[in-house]
Amino acid sequence: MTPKRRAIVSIVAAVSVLVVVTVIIFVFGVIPLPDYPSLADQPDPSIPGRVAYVEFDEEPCLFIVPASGGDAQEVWCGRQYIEYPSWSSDGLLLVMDYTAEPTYILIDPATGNEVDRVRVEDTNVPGAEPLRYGPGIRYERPDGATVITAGRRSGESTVEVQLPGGESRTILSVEDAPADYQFVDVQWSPDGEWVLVSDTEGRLLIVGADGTPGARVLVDGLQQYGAQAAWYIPGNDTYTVEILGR
Amino acid sequence: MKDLATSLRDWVAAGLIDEDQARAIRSHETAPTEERRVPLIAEVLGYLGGSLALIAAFILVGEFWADLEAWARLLLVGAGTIAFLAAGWFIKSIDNAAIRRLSSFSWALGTVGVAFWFGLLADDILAADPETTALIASVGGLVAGYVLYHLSPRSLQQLLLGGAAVATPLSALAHVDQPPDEFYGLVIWAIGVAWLLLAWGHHLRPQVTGYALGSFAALLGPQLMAINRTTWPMLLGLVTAGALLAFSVTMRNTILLGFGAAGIFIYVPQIIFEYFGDTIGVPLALFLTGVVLLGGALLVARLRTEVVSEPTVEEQT
Repeated sequence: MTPKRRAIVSIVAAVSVLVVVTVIIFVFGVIPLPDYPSLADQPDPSIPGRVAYVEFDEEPCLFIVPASGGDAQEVWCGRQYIEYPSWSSDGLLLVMDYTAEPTYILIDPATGNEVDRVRVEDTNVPGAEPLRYGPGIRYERPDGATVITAGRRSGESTVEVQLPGGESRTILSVEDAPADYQFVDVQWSPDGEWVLVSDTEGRLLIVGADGTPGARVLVDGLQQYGAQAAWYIPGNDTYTVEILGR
Repeated sequence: MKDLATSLRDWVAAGLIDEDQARAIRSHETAPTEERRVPLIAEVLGYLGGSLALIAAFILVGEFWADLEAWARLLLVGAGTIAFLAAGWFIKSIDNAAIRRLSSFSWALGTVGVAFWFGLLADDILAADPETTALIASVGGLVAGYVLYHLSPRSLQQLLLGGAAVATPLSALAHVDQPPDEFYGLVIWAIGVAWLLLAWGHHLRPQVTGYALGSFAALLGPQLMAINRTTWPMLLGLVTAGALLAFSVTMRNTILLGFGAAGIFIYVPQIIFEYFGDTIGVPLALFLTGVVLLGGALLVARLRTEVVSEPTVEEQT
């Protein structure tokens, strides 16, 4: 092969390899994300209560949005690394501050003011259950029904409800999503009629307890791999926490 | 050992060369060399000292980096980048191997500086998302890397050009809606193969660097794809390694032989464990891996003998 011919063949072959791989990527690699209707665009008044969630930007902030859909309201921002938003029975917000020693911050959602700070070890007295209200506890309904996420293969993710009698039903599923897409955290609404789901796209979804109505987006643009949220319905203490001394 | 004068006398006496040729050889060999060589130890110490000074500068800047305005950051990085590029340009023409290497090193830092500057521009001024910031920075690095490689086709410039050539499509791919993870590795593999082909076609200089970079990327890509326990990339890696071995023989190239052998040693055990680990059990899989690797070692030893026995025209020239 002459040097000139070799130079031409090498360029043609190199470009061909790149073109073939590009075509493969665009044919097989571009899988659209699951899309859901937005509650912000079309609120559903039948969904009760409010949802508090943490949004991590330059600093973590607590927001509250009506569960029926609507505009979110910024309540409080802190420089701390916070997790596990929760509600107290009297409608105060709690977040866990892991900056130094684990501390609960109590926040009045009406004013955004910090009401109190309680170090975890200080709550080690009878009746106190400081870790009780991590997000995990909310996957179990008072009647024993649990809601879980599952995925058997890449691109598949489901939300399933397991009833006390052993029956299991899928209330939300995606079959051919991008490989990285998953439902991450799930929790019941305090009345047990709805399920709040976070996905890897940083969205909070609300789906009916029996799968209808289907998933709708409450909030998007949150932390990927598990947005943190807590649902509150005034007068319903199912998942609220007790605060010492109050 | 005979000295040059004695050898020349003997060669003339034996009729191997005539008197004119002997004079020409003597003249050539005894002419004073113009290049003043820098001792290797001095060069190494120079790079060590320079690197330490650079690290100290980075640490010093890092102390107040967070307090700097965006324009001040751009100015600082831009000034440093221009300084490296200008230094490389001015010393490039000095006819000394050590100085040329220093020029290459200085331009390499300048290329990194250009990419960093564009990254800062995207992040601090344009407030772009991380994927777009990475894309803008890598495109900046790619353009700078290409220009500097075009001006001075040395290994370090080719290395940075190759890095930017990989980073640019990867950051572009990140804009696509969550492609499967395997596709990032596939892009690296494709660029590696393309790099090998371009080196083979003499479009990349030094050619040996092109072969090394291309082989490395072509073997790394499938390994990255296999991280999620996806099995087909392992086969792609094995086929790539086999192709490198085959071409190493036909092209009499030890670089390709080395990378091909490394690929065999990396992918064969993974494939045996992935496909047969559950059926034949770990002990037998280990034994099988050992046998295959032993066979591979013998094959490589034999191929090496063939590869080095007859230099190619490229090597001769």
